[in-house]
Amino acid sequence: MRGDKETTNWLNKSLMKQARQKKLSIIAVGVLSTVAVTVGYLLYLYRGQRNPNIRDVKPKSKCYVLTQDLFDKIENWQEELSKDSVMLVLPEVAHLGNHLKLQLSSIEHKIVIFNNSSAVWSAVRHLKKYELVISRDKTSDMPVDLRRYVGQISHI
Amino acid sequence: MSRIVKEYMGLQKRLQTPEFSWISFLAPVDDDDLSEWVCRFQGPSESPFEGFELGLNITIDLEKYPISGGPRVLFEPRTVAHPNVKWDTGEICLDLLKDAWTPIYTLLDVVGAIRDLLADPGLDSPLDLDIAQIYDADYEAYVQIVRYRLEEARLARV
Amino acid sequence: MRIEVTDVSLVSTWAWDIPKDLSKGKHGVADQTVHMEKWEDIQNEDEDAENDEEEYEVCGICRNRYDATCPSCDYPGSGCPIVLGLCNHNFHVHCIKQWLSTETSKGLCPLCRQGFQLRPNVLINKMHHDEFQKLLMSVRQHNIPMGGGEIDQDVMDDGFIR
Repeated sequence: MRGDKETTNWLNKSLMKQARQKKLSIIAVGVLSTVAVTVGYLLYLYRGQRNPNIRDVKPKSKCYVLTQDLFDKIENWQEELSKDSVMLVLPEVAHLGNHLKLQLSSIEHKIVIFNNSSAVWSAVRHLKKYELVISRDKTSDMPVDLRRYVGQISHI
Repeated sequence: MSRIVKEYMGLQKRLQTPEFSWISFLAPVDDDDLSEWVCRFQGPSESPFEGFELGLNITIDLEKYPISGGPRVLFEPRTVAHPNVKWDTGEICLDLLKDAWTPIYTLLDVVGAIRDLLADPGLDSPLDLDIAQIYDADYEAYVQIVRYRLEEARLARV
Repeated sequence: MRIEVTDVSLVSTWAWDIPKDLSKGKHGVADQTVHMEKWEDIQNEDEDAENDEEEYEVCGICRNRYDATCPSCDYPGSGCPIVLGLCNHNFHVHCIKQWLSTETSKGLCPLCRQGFQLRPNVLINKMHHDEFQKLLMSVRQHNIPMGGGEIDQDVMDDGFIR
């Protein structure tokens, strides 16, 4: 059996060794993470160089929830709905929806007129467009979970 | 002669009958490899799919078909909005493709059943809960959403 | 024009003897018989025809004729036999056994979804009764709701291999 002094020495050395090992592992993890991030970033840049189209040039998709005030605020709906967009028409403004369908006949399939409000929110969930454009007044009617189905919400 | 080869040989003739005039084509991608098939068919009448052409990708496990397993069938991804179809993958929830499969069914039967499913969704086990909800609460809006998706897919093919 | 027949030859084919008279439960005389067929009848057989009649003449699983083999065999005959189901649906033994061995089958006939059993008192089935009994018993152990049978808990607990 070892003496007390020897045991203490042994314990101290052991603890120091552990502390050192711990320090080393933290440093190793740090170095590896930095390397990984750097490599990842370089790859991203490299890919971007090869195909400039990949970097955020692609237009983001949009989903409009139509209300009277939103309708009034937009000048040119033909323009707004020209790219990857869809318009969900709330039941209360179905007449506006019909008007737009007639006016924008070439893209009338992008205008969806609803009889039931809860179905509108289900549609937002299904469509998963990047940007949800909705009137500030209607925001309170929006179910809370909708935030998970879209990238960003623009309150107009 | 294996079952799939038999089906392949009999197909040309059957596809020319009026019974299957709604199928634009159903054929293996490569004549030498009967494990991968493609199908394009007309959506059923009296449904939002009427007037549109739909695409299916069919994979057959040649070891198992038809006894130990049926074909694996997916819609072309991101074309079909339907309560029993997964939008992103085109996966179809149809009992015939799963536990109701028996070897008496042929590829033609499967495609026919899928077409029928389009016109009559099964709401017991929806793959797309949101579309199922819209179908249930607001059928007219459902029709427009389906057509929106189909029209966009059609434009993308051009 | 006068025709003088110079030669006559008969063509013989082989076929399984499937009792046609089902209601009276007749025995088959032998399990294989040799038919004498006229040459023109054989010529007129349309292999591709899928009419109602063919429904009775092909194995429901592989769609080959009873007298032909299942897809895995080369020569017809006792090496690739057929069995007659109680539900009046008939199959190559290889085909129906493979089907019954799958989980999805649940021991049911693929055509009518009744519990599959061999028709008794038919010669063509005779030699297969034992193997089918074994197979269907193990199927029942896998699938509890099958034909309304009782669960034998002792058998279940014996830990059969899945």
